Amino acid sequence: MDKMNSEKMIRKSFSWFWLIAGLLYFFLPLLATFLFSLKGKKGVLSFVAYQHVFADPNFLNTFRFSLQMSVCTVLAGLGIIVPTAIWIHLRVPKAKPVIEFFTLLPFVIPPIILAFGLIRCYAKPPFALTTSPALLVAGYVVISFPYIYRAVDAGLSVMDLQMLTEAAQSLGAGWGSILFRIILPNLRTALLSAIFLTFATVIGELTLAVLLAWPAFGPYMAFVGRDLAYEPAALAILSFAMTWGAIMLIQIASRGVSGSRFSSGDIH
Amino acid sequence: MGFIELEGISKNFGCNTVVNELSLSVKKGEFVSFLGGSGCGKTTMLRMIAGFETPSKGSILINNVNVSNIPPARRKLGMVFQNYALFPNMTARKNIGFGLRISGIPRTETEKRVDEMLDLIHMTQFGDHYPHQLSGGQQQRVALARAIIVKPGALLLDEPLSALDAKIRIQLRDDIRAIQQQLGITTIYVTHDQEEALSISDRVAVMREGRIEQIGTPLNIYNRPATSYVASFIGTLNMFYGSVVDAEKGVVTVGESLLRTAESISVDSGKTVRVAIRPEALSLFNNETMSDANFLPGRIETIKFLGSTVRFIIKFEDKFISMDCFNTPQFKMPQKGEQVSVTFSREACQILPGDAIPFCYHE
Repeated sequence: MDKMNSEKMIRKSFSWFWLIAGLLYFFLPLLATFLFSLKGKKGVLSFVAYQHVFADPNFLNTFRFSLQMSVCTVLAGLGIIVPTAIWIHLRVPKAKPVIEFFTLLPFVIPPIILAFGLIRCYAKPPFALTTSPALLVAGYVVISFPYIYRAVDAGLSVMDLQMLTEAAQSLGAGWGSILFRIILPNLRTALLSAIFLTFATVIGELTLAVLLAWPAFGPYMAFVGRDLAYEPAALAILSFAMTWGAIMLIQIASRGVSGSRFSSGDIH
Repeated sequence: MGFIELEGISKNFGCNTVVNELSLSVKKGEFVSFLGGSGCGKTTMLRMIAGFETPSKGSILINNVNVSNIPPARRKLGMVFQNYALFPNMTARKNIGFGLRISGIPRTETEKRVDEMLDLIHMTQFGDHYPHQLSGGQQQRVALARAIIVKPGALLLDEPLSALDAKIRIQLRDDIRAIQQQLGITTIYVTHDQEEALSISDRVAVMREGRIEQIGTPLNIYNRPATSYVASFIGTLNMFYGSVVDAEKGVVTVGESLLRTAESISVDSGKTVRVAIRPEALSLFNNETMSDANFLPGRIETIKFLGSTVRFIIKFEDKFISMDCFNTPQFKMPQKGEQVSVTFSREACQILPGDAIPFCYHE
């Protein structure tokens, strides 16, 4: 009995150790960056670096632009990938390994290759899109593809999609009802993960925005970081806070839309 | 013409034939069960009726309309699944009302009918619970209510009780039958559990390798199995090889014993047959034993006490016979190793062909 208790204690201690280690790993650099961002004035901790950042009109302009691109990327990405993933789960489950292979490609192919490929293909008529933000969004969709697909795929794997679809069909539901009343509400947690990852990726993305020459937040942070000391740290903290803020807003908004107390734990 | 007509239905998955030329007519308000082991095609047949699979051959008629190529959403059939398939994001009340909401029934009417359904399944106080807050039995009740609230032409149940524990299973199966009879809804029920099928069905279709091996009332299926497969699949059975001595008089030999059947045998004299006897049809020889009964001598090898019954395993020549006796206060328990004479009536002695080819009794 004592042996069992001591084993339990050891297991519990290990759990706490890894939890604390993980939290330190993630939050110590953030704390260090935050403290560094407060040292803009010599000898005292102040928010002067933050004042400089807010005073620069490029900060809000670039962040707003990246936010717009994030929203477009999320809409386009979910619009393409969610129906595809559902179709694969329902009709062609054998194609799953092929799609999973494609999801790895954005990790293997550097963004610079993607950017040059897009410029080469879409610089001339009939597809002269290099001056359109749609090309940037298309590039972001490719980069976000693994995050969106894997989050949606995990969500679909947890629920018995086939059976829920058949149950809804037997009650007279068409595909619209099945998608918007059954599948999407039950995918809420997975969709939020996909949205969060896409936001985080797009907000700080540098290569595509630079090569396609768009005034995005990623290039702005790189520009500021090149010439100033404390402002980049303040920017990093601000972008972190704003990304989380945007995600929380999405979560609150989507809770209002779905109107249910559903959580990932509800799926059995 | 039945309410549901299955006409020569076949289903192939690649080169594998899962349902083979199956025909069946189900009357309006009838409760028919498809009973069979895994892979016999019973669930595939149900899914074809529901519209989730398309027959490779044959046609499905519901109320005289060929629905073979009509999508499931337009067949107006209620379906209950093995794993409940409740929508996790909806409460029990919303699950039940889903079919009405999407068909545009006004909210007040929907609420009224949902309340009636909750009352019918005795779950009035659980309307606002989410599926994960309900037990398996409660979830299946909600699934049943959800399927019948839309007043479907027929109700299809795909092993609805197999995920539940024994006590709930018995209770819910009685409830399903009671609700089916109350509403008079035509029902097709798929199960691998013979007790379940026999206890709630008007007719049972025993399936094997994509075909109906035998269809009949539960009593008929149990007492008059048409093939060796049905005889061995339904209940416990003693089966011996025997040789026909006099087909006209219904006399066969099993080992060194001569047995008499109640009817003549449609197999020529001298041919090999199977003699099937239910354990509950056997008894120990006593003063009340009829003079024209059959006898088999043997020695008690094992005694298994099963509560209301006692099962004896008796060695007869080189074979073993299973015999069930009721555990009544008057019952005089024989001892292990005791020499006994097992007796059974002529009617209890069923003759089946030596192989598994379907076989007809002389009526």
